[in-house]
Amino acid sequence: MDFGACQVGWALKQCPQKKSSGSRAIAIAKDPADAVRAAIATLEERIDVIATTLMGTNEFAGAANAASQIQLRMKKGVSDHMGRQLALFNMPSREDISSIGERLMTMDERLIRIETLLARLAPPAVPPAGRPARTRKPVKKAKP
Amino acid sequence: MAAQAGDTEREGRGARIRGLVERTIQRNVRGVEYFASTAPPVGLTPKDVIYKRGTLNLYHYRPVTDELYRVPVLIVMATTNRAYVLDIQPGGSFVEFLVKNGYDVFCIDWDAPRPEERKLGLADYTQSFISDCITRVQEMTGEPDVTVVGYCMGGVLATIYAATHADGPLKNLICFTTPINWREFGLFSVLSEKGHFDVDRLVDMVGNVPPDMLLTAFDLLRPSGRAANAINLWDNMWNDEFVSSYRKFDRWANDMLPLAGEYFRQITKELMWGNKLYTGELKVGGKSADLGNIKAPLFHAVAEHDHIVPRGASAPLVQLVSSTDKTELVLKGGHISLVAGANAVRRLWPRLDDWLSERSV
Repeated sequence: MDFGACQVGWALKQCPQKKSSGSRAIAIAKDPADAVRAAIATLEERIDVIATTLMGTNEFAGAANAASQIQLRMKKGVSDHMGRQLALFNMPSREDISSIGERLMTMDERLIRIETLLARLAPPAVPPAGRPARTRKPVKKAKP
Repeated sequence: MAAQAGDTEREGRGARIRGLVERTIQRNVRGVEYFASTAPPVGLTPKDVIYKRGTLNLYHYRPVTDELYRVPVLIVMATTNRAYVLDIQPGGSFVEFLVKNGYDVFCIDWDAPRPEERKLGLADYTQSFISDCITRVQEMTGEPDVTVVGYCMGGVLATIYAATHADGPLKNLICFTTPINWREFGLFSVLSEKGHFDVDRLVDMVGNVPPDMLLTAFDLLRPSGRAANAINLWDNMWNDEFVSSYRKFDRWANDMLPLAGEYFRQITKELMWGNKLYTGELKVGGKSADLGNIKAPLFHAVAEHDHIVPRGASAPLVQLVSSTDKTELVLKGGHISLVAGANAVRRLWPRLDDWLSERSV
């Protein structure tokens, strides 16, 4: 579960704000653009601190949830309207398709149960020859 | 002497300016290529889909060594994202690393739940999907024991499975950044507080929780992250290797899955509000998911700078299980870099291999 955009940078070892001040000082001497990078990193860090502090309040949480509810209600309204239009043209709505899907899923589940019962009646064959032997042992490493 | 030093300094400065100009030209040229090219390939380690059931896919990665460790490994991916983050590119793939080191690797990956799967709950994921996959792994390998590896929410599912199957086939439990104390989730805890977050209304309205909503919630944790990342990309646009990796990770980070409605409702009520995984009160499918039931060897790797699953949320796992053989590894890095990318190759994977190889015979 990961999505924070900066995490992408982290994974690439490029998240600049995590550089130690020592390494940053050396880098500035090497590349003139590093001063800009350092400034951006500091700015990013400050914005995140301020923003997360503000967003961590109950007021923000309440407002964010209210906005989210309004957005979802609007989406629902559009979807209901679309459903009525589809009915007018004698076409299946999303709900109709979903209910067919649900019935298919029930059938799928029944098939799985039947398959499981069949597997019990006729146990699966012994793993075919030619597969690697499961005899590998860990390599003992010398302690430093 | 002084004149010579002056010349050297001038040359050095000249070289730096030339480099800067060259990079600027390359950035512009590659920038055009970047927007014109197609999505980079990911998940390239050869595999077979051996089982598919609705949202569930079970992969088996083809062995490449002459000898395998006896105990197969089953990876459980988080339900919010695709498993290819663990197989992002050759040489930087966790799955490839395991396969090359002689493990027989299986992986549970999720597709977006269909509207009719909105009623899937924690019991379906832990008592049906994981159990079912373990049975198939046992049948395919002929081995009674299985090591289960869970990443983030996949770790939560693996942990619940382990707690509800105390006498089951679990040989080892490996978790990466797995949240247990959900009160320590920081911003998420505040945003989803009972007072202003009506989860029933949300789920009843949308069915499955849309991925854009989840993505927005995660973006809030690092509000400047996207802008900073875009600048970082532009800065490194001249570097093919960086751009290639960036695109793969960026693709993955944005490739989020919807969550089954009932599952989301349960997570909010039982884990976020009730914190029942931490208190030991969680019941799934009529079984107690008390972490104290877990006796299998446990390895938990967590990241020092994880802004999604803070240390306070993941720390209790090792403390609450009854296993006598348990290891917690705190490594530098963030939520993804713990398991994928250059840091993981160097830091986590070798230590995990040392731990797991001894317990896979």
